[in-house]
Amino acid sequence: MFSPAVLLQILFALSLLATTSALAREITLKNESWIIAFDSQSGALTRLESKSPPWTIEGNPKLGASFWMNAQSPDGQQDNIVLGLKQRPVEVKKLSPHQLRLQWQNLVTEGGETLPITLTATVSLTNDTLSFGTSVANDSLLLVSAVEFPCIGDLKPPTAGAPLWAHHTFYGDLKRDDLSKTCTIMSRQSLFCLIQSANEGIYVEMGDPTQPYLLNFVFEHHGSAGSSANPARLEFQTTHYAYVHPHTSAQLAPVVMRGYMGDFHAGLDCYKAWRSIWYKEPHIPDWARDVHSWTMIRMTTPEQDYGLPYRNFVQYGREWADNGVRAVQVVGWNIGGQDADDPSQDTDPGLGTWQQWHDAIAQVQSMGVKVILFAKLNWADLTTSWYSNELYKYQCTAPDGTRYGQGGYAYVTPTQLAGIGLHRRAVMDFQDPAYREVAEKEFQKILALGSEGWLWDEICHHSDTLYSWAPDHGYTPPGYVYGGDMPLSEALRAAADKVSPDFIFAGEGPQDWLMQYYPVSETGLTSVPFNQYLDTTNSIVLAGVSGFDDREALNLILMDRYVIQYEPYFYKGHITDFPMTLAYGKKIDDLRRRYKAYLWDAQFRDTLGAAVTADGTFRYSIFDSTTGKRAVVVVNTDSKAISATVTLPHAGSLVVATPDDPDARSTTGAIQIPARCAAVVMEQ
Amino acid sequence: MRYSRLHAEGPNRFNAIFVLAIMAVSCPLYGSDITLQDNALSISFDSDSGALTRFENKNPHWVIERRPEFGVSFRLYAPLPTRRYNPVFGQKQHVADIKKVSDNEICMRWDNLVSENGGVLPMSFAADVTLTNGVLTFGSTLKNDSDLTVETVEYPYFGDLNPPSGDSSLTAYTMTKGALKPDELYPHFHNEKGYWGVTWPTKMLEPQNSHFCAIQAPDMRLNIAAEADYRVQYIFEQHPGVISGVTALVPPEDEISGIPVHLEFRVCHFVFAGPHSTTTLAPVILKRYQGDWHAGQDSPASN
Repeated sequence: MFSPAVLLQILFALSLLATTSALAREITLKNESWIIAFDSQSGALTRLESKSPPWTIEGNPKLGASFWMNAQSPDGQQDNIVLGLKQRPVEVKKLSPHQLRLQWQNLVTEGGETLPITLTATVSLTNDTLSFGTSVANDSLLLVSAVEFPCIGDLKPPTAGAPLWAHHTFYGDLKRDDLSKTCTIMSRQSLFCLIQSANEGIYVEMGDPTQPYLLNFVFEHHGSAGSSANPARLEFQTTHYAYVHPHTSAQLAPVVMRGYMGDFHAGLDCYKAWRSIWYKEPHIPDWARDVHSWTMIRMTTPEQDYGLPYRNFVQYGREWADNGVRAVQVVGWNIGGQDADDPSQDTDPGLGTWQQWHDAIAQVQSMGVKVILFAKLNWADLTTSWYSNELYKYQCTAPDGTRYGQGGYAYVTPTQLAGIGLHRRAVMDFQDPAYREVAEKEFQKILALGSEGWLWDEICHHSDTLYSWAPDHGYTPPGYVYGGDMPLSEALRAAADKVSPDFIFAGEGPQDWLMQYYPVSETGLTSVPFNQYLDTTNSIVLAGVSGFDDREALNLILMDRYVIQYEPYFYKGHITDFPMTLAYGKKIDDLRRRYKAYLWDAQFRDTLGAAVTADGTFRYSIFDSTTGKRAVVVVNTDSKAISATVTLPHAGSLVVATPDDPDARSTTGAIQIPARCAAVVMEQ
Repeated sequence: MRYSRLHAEGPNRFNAIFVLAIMAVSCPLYGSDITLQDNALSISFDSDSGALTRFENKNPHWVIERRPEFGVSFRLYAPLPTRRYNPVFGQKQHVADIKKVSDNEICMRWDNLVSENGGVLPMSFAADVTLTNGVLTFGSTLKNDSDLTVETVEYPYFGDLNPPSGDSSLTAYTMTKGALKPDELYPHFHNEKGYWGVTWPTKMLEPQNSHFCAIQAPDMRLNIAAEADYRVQYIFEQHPGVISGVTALVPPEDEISGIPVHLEFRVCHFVFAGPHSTTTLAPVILKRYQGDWHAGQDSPASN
C-alpha cells in the first residue's frame, strides 16, 4: 500500500506526535535566565536549563526525579521511606508565568502504608534566581526526619566532557570537592555550594542563615556506563533534616539557585549579595581595625607542666610591648590547662592565684597589649567531678541514649603524644537553655578577669554531633546542636556588652554566620582567603607564624591581608626567640601602615582585576582602595629571583615598594623580585 | 653558652639559665669519652654523664652524632600522684658506674635519679652497649624502687643526628599498611604531631607488623629495631624548628639566630613499669647498610 519512503515519513510523524505528547505533560516556567519543567503526572523535575551561562543542567526527562522522604517511628528505630516517583501529585499548577506549585498528599511508603502527610513545593523564577520552597504538613504519628527536594536526577556538565567540581566554605577557606566521587556538603559548614565548571557555575544556597536544621548538598553517582535501564549519572539533591514532628507543619528553608559566568569568585559574589541582606556587622574596636599584630602563648597543659606561671606573664608582656605587638592570645591559663577541665573557666592553682592572674592581665594591658583569653565551652571533661555530678545532664546523646564525645588532645609527654590518657570530653547541648546558662556563667569568669577579649577555640564544630536526642533539654528532641551556636553567642555578646562593647570576640575558624559575633577568625593561611574576599575590612583573620626566618608565611600574610600572629616554638616561646621572623613581620606591618589605603583599608579581590606573568613561580593578589586606586601584591615563591610583569587595565602611573625597600619607586609594571621576597605595585 | 642544655627543658630560658647555673657549680658538664669501635662504626659516651657524644660510620665516612654538647644519655617519665609532668632528664644525672668491660662492650648505670618535680627517685637505669661486627646493641634495665610508675623510657638517645653532609638528605622509613612509608627528615622536616602539643617539629613513628625504623641517607642506611612486647615509637624532633612553616626547610647551618640547630632521635619504650619492679627493656639493635632502602631487607636486623 505504502512505499518505504512514505512509511518512514509516517513513522517520523508518529514519533513527533509522541514527543509532542510527552512535552505536553510538562509544566514549564521560563524567563531570561532559566527554563525549568516538571512532569504533570509525577511531579518530577524533567528539565532544567540555565540560559546564562548556557547550561542544560538536567535534560533527560526519563531520569527526572521529584522528592524523597523518610518518616521515622517516634523512637527513631524504624525508617519508612517514601519515593517521590511512586506518588501521584494532586497538583502541578502554574500559579503565574514565573511560579508553579506541586503538591503530593497521602504518601505511600515502600512498606505499603499510606501516611497522612502532604508535601507542597513552590518553584519560582525571579530575574536570575530560581528558588524552591517546600512545606510539610505531617498529620501522621511519625517523625518526618528528612526530605530531599529539589532533586536533579541527571546533573550534566555544561558541555559533554567538561570538568565539574564543587566548592564550599569552611574554616575561612574555600574547599574544592571532587565530583567524580559521591560528595556531601553540609550546611553546618557552608550555607552554599558552587557547582563549578571551567568557565561557568551554579550557585546553590540554603536560603536561611539561622541554622534551623541541617541541610546537605548531596552529589551521588548512580547506575553504570552502558546500561540503558540504569545509566551512569550524577544525581544532585538537597536533603533537609527538618525533623517535622507528628501533627505539625513546617516550612523548609528555601533552596536558591543562580547561574554565573566565570570561576568561583563569581559564585562567591552570589553569596556575598545574599549575605548583605542578613549579615549584621559586629562592632570592632578601633585598635583591631588598625594595622596590628598578635602573638600567642601557652601557660599549662593537662600534663601539668605549668610552663608559664601567672607571676611571669608580665615579663613576657614587656617583650610584646617592646616589639609593638598589640594582642596576645593566652592559652592554657584556665584550670587543667589547654583542653582539660572544660568548660570551667576557673584559674589554675598550679599557675598561681586568681588575683595574681587578674593583676598580671591588667599590667600587661596597661603596656598596650590586649590580653585575649582562650577558652572552650563546647565540651565537658569526662575526668572531672563536675561532669559526673552535673554536666552529664546537658550532654548530647544519640537516639539510643549513648553519649556523644570528643577524643581530647595530646600534650607534652610521650604518653599523651601517643594518644594515651587523653582527657576525653562529652559534647554539650547548646540547644539546652540550662546548659547555655552554665556556659554564660563560665563566661562571666572570663569577663571578671578584666581581659579585653576572648578566643573561643573549636567554635567551628561539635565533634561528630549533629542532633541530640537527650530528653529534658527544654525542647522536643532531636535538637540540632549547631542551631544553638547563635543564641548562645548572642547571650555572651550581651553579657560582654555590659562590661564593654570593645570586648572583642575571636574564634577558631568560625563559620561565616558566626562572624557576626566573632569578627576575629583564627584560621592560619588558607588556599582562598574567603573572609577577606567577602568583606575585607570587617574580617580580622589571624595567621600564625612559627618558622625561625619565616619570610614565606609573612609574604603570604601580606598578600592575603591576614593579621600576623607570632608563635615562636609553636606558641611556647618568647617573641625574641625568632628575631629574623619578628624583624620581617615588622617590615610587613610598617609597609601596611605606610600604604594603608592600598594594603589594609582596601578591598581584597584575590586574583581579580590584574594580570601577572613571571619567569618563575609566584602568587599575587589585588586590592581595590576606596579611591579606586589599585595595588597588586606579588610574592616570589620560587627559589631564585624572578622577573615579573604586572598589568592593570587602564592603569595610571605605577610605583613599586617592598617590605625591605619601602620607598616607592616608579615602575612600568616590570619588576625584579628576589627569592623569598614580595613586591607591591600601586597605582598613583 | 651551652644552648642545648638550656633547651633541654623547653624554650623557657629563665628556668634554663637557673638550671645551668646549678649544674655549673655542682659538677663538670663533661668527662672524658669512652669509645667502642670496630671496622665499621665508632661510638663514644661521656664518662661523667653517660651521654652518647659521638657516633660515626667509617666507610663511607658519616658522622652520625657530631656535636658532643648535644649528647644525651636517656629520658624517662615518672608521673607523680599530684602532678603528671615529672621527667627525668639524663642530662641532669651523673653516671654512677661506667665501664668498658671488653673491647666491644660498655656498661653504664645511673642511680637515684633526679626528677624535675618529684625530687630524687629510688630508681636505677643500667645500659649495656655492645658493638659486634658493625652491629650495635643497646640493652637496658630499669630498676624502679619507687612508688611511681615509669611510663616511658627513651633510650638510646641521639641528640644530634646528622645527614652525611649539609647538601645531603635523610629520610626515615617505617612499615605502614604493608608498605615502607617515607618521612623526610632533611632538608625538609614537616611536623606530624598536633603543633599545640609539642614545642619542636616532631615525628613519632610507629611501625606496623614490624619492629624497625630505617634512617636512609643517599648511599647508606641505618636500621634500628626494638623487638618488644610493649609499644615502641621512634621519635624525631627538629630543634629549634624550621626556617618557614610554608617550606618546612631545616636551617642548613649549625645555628639560626644564635640558636643551635640539631635533630634529636630516640627510641621510646612504653614500659609502664610499676612501683618496685625491675624491667628489662627490649634491646635496640642498630645495623648499617650501604645502598638504598632495598639493601639489607633480608637481614634479621632489618625486620
